[in-house]
Order: sequence, then structure tokens, then C-alpha cells
Amino acid sequence: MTRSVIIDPVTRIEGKLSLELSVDETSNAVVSAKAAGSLFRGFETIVLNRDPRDAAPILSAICGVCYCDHHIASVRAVENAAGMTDYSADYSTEQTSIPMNAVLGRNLVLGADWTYSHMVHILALAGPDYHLYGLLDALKPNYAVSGYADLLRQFIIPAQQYINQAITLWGGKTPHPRAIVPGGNPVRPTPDVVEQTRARIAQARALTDQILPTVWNYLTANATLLGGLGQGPGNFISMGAFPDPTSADGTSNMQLLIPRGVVRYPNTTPDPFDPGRITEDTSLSWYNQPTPEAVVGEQTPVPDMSGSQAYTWAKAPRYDGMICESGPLARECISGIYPKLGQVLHVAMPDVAGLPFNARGSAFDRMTAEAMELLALVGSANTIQNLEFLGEPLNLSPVDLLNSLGLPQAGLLESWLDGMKVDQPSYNPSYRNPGNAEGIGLGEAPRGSLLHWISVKNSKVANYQVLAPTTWNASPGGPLEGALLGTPVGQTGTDDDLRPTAYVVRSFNLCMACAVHAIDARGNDRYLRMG
Amino acid sequence: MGVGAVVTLYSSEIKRVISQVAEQGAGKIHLIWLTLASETGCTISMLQASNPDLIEAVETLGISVDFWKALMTPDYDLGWVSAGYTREDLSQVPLDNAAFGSAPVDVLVVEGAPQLGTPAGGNPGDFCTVGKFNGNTVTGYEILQRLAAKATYVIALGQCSSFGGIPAARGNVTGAVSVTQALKTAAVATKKPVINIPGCPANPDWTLVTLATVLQGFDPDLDELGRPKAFFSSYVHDNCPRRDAYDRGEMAKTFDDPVGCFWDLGCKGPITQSSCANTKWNSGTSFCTQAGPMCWGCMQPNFPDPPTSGFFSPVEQTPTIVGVTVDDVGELAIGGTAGILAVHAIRRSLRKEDSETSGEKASQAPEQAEEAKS
Repeated sequence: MTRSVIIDPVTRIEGKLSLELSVDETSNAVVSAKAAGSLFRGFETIVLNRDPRDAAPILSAICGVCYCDHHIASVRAVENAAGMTDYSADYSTEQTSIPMNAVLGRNLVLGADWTYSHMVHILALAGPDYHLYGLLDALKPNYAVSGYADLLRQFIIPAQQYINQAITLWGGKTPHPRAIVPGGNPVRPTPDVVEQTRARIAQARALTDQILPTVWNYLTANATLLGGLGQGPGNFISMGAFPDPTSADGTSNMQLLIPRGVVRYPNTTPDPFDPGRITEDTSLSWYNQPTPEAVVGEQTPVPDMSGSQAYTWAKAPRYDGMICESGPLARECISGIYPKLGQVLHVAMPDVAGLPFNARGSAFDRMTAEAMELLALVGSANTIQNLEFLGEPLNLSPVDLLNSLGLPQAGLLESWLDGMKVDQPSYNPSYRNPGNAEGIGLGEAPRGSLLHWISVKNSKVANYQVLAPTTWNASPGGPLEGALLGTPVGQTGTDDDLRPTAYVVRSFNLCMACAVHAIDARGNDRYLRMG
Repeated sequence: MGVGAVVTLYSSEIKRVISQVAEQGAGKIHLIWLTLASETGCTISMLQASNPDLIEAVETLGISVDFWKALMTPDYDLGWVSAGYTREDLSQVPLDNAAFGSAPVDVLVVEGAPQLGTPAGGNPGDFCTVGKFNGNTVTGYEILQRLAAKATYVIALGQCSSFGGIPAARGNVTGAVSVTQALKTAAVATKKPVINIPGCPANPDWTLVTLATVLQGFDPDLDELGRPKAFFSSYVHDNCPRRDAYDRGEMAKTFDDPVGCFWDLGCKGPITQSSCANTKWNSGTSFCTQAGPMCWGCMQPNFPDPPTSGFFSPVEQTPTIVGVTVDDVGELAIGGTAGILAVHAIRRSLRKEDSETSGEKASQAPEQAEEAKS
């Protein structure tokens, strides 16, 4: 016998998601799960028949959280179609005719977008489910924080505002700075803009320094619990981010700080990434598309709710037919930073085998990888607070941790700022409409892999496809549904009944508007309680 | 303090207005934040409000935020308990109580466009559903009708709810329209005119001032498009940092031109009404034509369709809308836009004459030449 638990809407996520769980009455564990997106907007047809450059200012509005990511992915697709950027045959490196300043400027804006998004997700959205990581108790000796609202007002809201202000200096406003255009970044790095940006990042860093060690210590103290929840498929995908113009010869053959690759469980070494191997299956989605189609060149399917098995607007992307997990954990496994973090822990605590805690991913691994990424981006000046693992002191501060991982102490954001040539051009005006061409924009957003593909005919957009991170993770039959299997659901009538479910769901940092730009969700009757 | 004073307010004075509301000691204001076809950008934008920030405003204004899916947290009450929310309740209970029960709704904020279309094999409005109520799946369009009829004030927040925005743009298949149009189609009367605060996203500081105005018991002074006149009376072009360059006839040739006016490269400042240049964004940090390069027209009624796009075509070269089905709002907008274009055409011809007499010549950008060829 099973009982049904329906959570609709799932609150504190971007977009509309519902969950329907079947829970075994004897074992009290989830035996089947359906995650559904319940909003369809249809961006891929809205951009048709327009100037290719007009796509980005429209597609940035796929998501009100990772706006810079969609905008830049679209600009990159158009630049690829126009012959301004190109990928090596194995997609491992890039070359571009946009100036080095623009490459670094885009890294900065994207990285800042990830930074604020991780702050908001870890602290404001997921935080309540994780008992606010014990932050109230940790901060009370020095700050007047008696509740969540105080934490929001004194730390979370200002920290993310400073980062958004930094983006605003380069794009006019957030959300949706639309300044970046094919050919580069029109905003030149003047000394004034650079120093104002540096000041904002420093202000955000000062706030995160007060918070992140406590978050880290909470997660690692609960590693055994959280590591046993939310096992993923073990297949990871990354479409690469942050090209490094100082590698190789300037903007030719640029290496990527976060490489592209696909890990096929049980292997841990990534294979090269090839966008041609991605298909989208709509057999469980509300579209009229009889068979899976390659996403590159796919014809946008027509919405159709008549299929009896279908329950979501999200499609199901697969790589070589495989279910893949996307996000900070996936890219840190592919870049090697996360296993390296495991080695640091192993040195300090020989009993620890390493990371990932669960080779196929877990709630612990996802949250820790996201917190690690936030630290790497914003940096730290904190040499005092001691980090712990499993409740044991590591004799490592956040600064020590960055040093031992070979990451810049002042953070990646500031390193890109430092790399810019002040007052030098960051825009190449040679863009011309390619007339007839195709282009692909590959990248990573805060929540995972992002692909934009454009076909230009007679100088207009003839076809456009977007594949967003949450479409991988919340796809029907995908990583989220799989990770929920086996999750215990209590019957005590308290908040703790659904807490393990919340741990799992939050760890994926879902963004449903992205997934069904195309997604938001549909579900049903029980609120996802947070503690 | 009357609405007239609000008209002249800029961000440094927002806090004062809001504390004046607090001094009046109004009771709890019940607010429902309904999300339809949107991307949560207007919610994220509210997190960027400063002086006061969002939490301070909610607490100072005495707002009970009974439902706000993206931010609601029952354990740390921002009003949910007063809406009948208890720890054992379901997530949509406050929304259910407001839409189908007797819970009061003083202010309804709508983020996103209502979608009236019918997917193949589905029912009208099925492109967006908001949950199950009494066993039935309810569409965003239906719950909007129920809440709007009940609310004292309806605020259509952001471009999608004010004018349809991107979800309602050319090529959409979901029947997305503005809140005003949806309510007109459904023959739902609101107690007061819908307040439109357009923009992609809506500016959080303008939103809080408008809210404060409402909570003082004043009806905001709205223009013919339902926008508070306080924030939508002037054109971006009028107060642009590069306005001097325009007046001197110095036109930018490339997007990274440090001085020139971006009219020829497609700036929509000349046809876009907003206070962006006055209040700026993100705590007064910057705005589109200050950071560069240009205004994208994201607050104009037809965004992202003509005349705001092609985004890279000068406004005078943008084709006029002919044969496009538009609602009343759209018709007004076209009329208004045509008038503005005429005004600027006059100003521009004067400028050109000036340039010619002084021997200068506005040069044509490569992008523009490219457009002319295609």
C-alpha cells in the first residue's frame, strides 16, 4: 500500500513546481515521484523572424534570476553564427575576435550573477529548511538578529544587493541588464567603474565572511545525514564557463576555467562534450513530438496536452540517452575542484575517504559544492574562523581553504577585474548579420548547463532552441525524481515529516521558469514544510 | 501629504513617505502576490529595493503578505499567520482563503501575464496553473479574476502584467495579455482602476512609493495607460546623460562610443517614458543609458515588438504597426508614440539643420548601413 503526498506549489523556488510522491506505507519511503512544471510561455517561437541581435534582450527574460546567463548565451550563439567566436573541434577551447576586456567583463558579470544567485538560494530560499544553518545562534553574540527577517535585512539582502550593484555598473540595472551586444561589452573598464565594482565586491565579501563558515560547519556536521539523501544519477554534464584570455595566445584557443565534459557513472574522468549528442524527449511532456529530437536543429514542438502519460511542460534532455545531473556539483566534479576539496579534507582528517561524499551525488554534495563555488567567486578575508568537518575542527580558515585549493584569496570576480586593461576597448564593431548561418552559445548558469542555438535565414531568426539547467534536473524521469526515491517521509504530523524531502528538493536549486521557458510547475496539495 | 507631493519624489525621499504611512497607524494591510506568466524578475527586483529595503517596508507599512510563493516562509511570519496560515496547513491555503474563502484582499499584486489561450487537448488558461483547490486544478486566469474582483487595489507589476510584455509578444502561442485586457475579456470589474507599473523588471523603489501612496488612502494619479504619473511622465531621452551630445549633434558610431548619443544605433530613450534617469536603479547606482549603451524600451507598451524593436534600428526607421491586433492600451500607445516621434522628428531636423550650417555631418554607423542593406 502506498499513500500519496502532493506538494503544490513548492514554495521559495523560482517558477511553478509541483511534486507528487508515492510513499510506501510500510517502509515510509518514497517509491515514485513526479515533478511537474506548470507554466508554458513559448520563448522559442517569440524570437522567430527577428533580427538575430534582438533575441538576447528578449531571452534574458526567460529567467529573472539568471538573466545575465541567458543574455550572454544568446549573444554568444549569434557571435558564433556571425563567425566572431568559435569552438575547437572537441569543444574544449574557444577563440574569439571580441577583445580580451570583453571576455573578462563577461566572466565578471556572469560570475557576479552566480554569486548573488547562490547567496539568495543558499540563505534565503533553502536556508529555512536547513534551520538557517544555525546562523542566528552564531551571529547573536555580535549582532542583533532575533529571526529570519533580521538575517535577511542585515546580511542576505545587502550582500546580494552589493553584487547586483556591481552588475549594474556594467549593464545599467538588475534584473535584466541588456548592455552586452554581439562584438563585446560596450561598457569600457574605466578606472572609476573598476574601482566602484571592486568596492561593491569587497562589501559583499565582508558580509559573506560572517556567514559562510557557519553554513559550511552546519553542512559538514550533518554530512552523514545529508550525504545519505538525494542520490543522483552519477552522470554529470558541464557545458563550460569562464574562458581565460590569458591562457594560450590571447583570445585564441582560450582554456575554460570550468571545462566542458560529461562524466558517465561509474567513471569519474570526463569525456569530451559534444552538443550533437543531446536529445530532447517529450513522451511525458505536454508537446506533440512523437520521437526524441536532437536539440541542435530541433523544430520547436507544439504544446499539446492530449497525451495520457504527460504531466509537465518540462522536456527531458538526455546525453547519449543518459540522464545527467547539472549544476555546481557537476561542474566541480568535471573541473576537479570538488575531488581536490576532498583531498584537503583527507589530509586534515585521514578517516575521510574524500569527496563526493556519495559518488553519485547527494544533498550534502550539492549544497557544499554550491557554497564552495560562492566562496571561490567572492573570495574571503577571513583567516580567523575555523572550518569543521563532521563536527571536528579542521584548523583551516576560509582563506586557508582557498589557498590550499589554489584559488585566489580575493575571489575569481576580483581576479577578472584585475585582468582587465583599464581604458582599453572592450567592443569590436565588426559584427555583421550573417545572413544565413547557424550558431551555438554554450555556457553554465548558476544552476547548471545552458545551451542556446540559433539558425539565421535571410538575416532573420529562423529557428531558436534553448536548453536550460533545470530542464536536465527536473525533467520527467530525471535526476530530481530519481533522487527522491527512497527518501523517508514521516507520519508524525510535524515539520520533520517532509524535511528530508525538502533537503533533496532544495539541493537541486531548481529554477522552473528556465526549465520550461518553456517551464514553471504543476502539482497539488501539500505545502513543502520548512523548519 | 497628497499625491501631488509624491509626484516629485525621488529615491532619497521614499523612506520619508513610507514612514508617514506608518505614523498614520493603519491596520494590517492584506496583500496577495500572484505570479502568472513571468520569470520572477520583479520579485528579485523587490529584493533590490533600498531605503527602505523590502523587509523594512513590509514591516513599516504594516503589510501582511498573505501569499508570495517565491518568498513565503511560515515559520518567520511576515503575515502568513494572520492570513490563517498554520504550520499544519497546505502551501496554497492562504491563496485558497483569499480567492475562494472570506479572507480579505486589500492589495493584489500581479507579476506576470495572464494567459487566455487553450493548448491542444487542454482547457482555456491551461498554459499556467497555480495549484489544486477543492480537488480542481485552477488556472492563473481564473484565480486572477477572483482576486481582482475582491481586491481594493490591483497593481499590475512589471511589463508582463501591465502590457503583456514578452509572453504576449509577436509569435506567442499562449494568448498572453495584460491584466487590464484579461479582466476586460472576463468582464471583471475592479473596485478602482488597475495601477500599471511597467518595466522589465518593475523598479522596486517606484513600486514601494506607489504602495505607500495607496496605503495612505490616496488614489495615485494615473495617466491614460494606468501608470502613476509620478514615474512615467518624462522621456528617458529628456534626462539622458548624453542629451547634451544629442543637442550638439554628436551621434555615436559604435556601441562603445564614450560621448555620443545612441539614437542612430537604436536607443529607445526617445520613445520611452520612465523615471530611470531621475531615480536610477539598484540604490541609485546607474541606469541603462548611463552605464551604456542604450535604452531598450522595456517600459513602453509594445515592448519587445515595434516600435521598441528592432532594438538596433533607430526609432524613426522602425516600421509602424499596421494590421496588428491591439487592445485599447496598445492603440493608445501607438497614438502616443506617433506623437512623440513627430516631436522628435522636428527636433531632429532642427539639429540636422544646425549641424549642416556649422559644417558638421552626422555620420552613419556601420550597423545602420547594414540594416539599410538588409
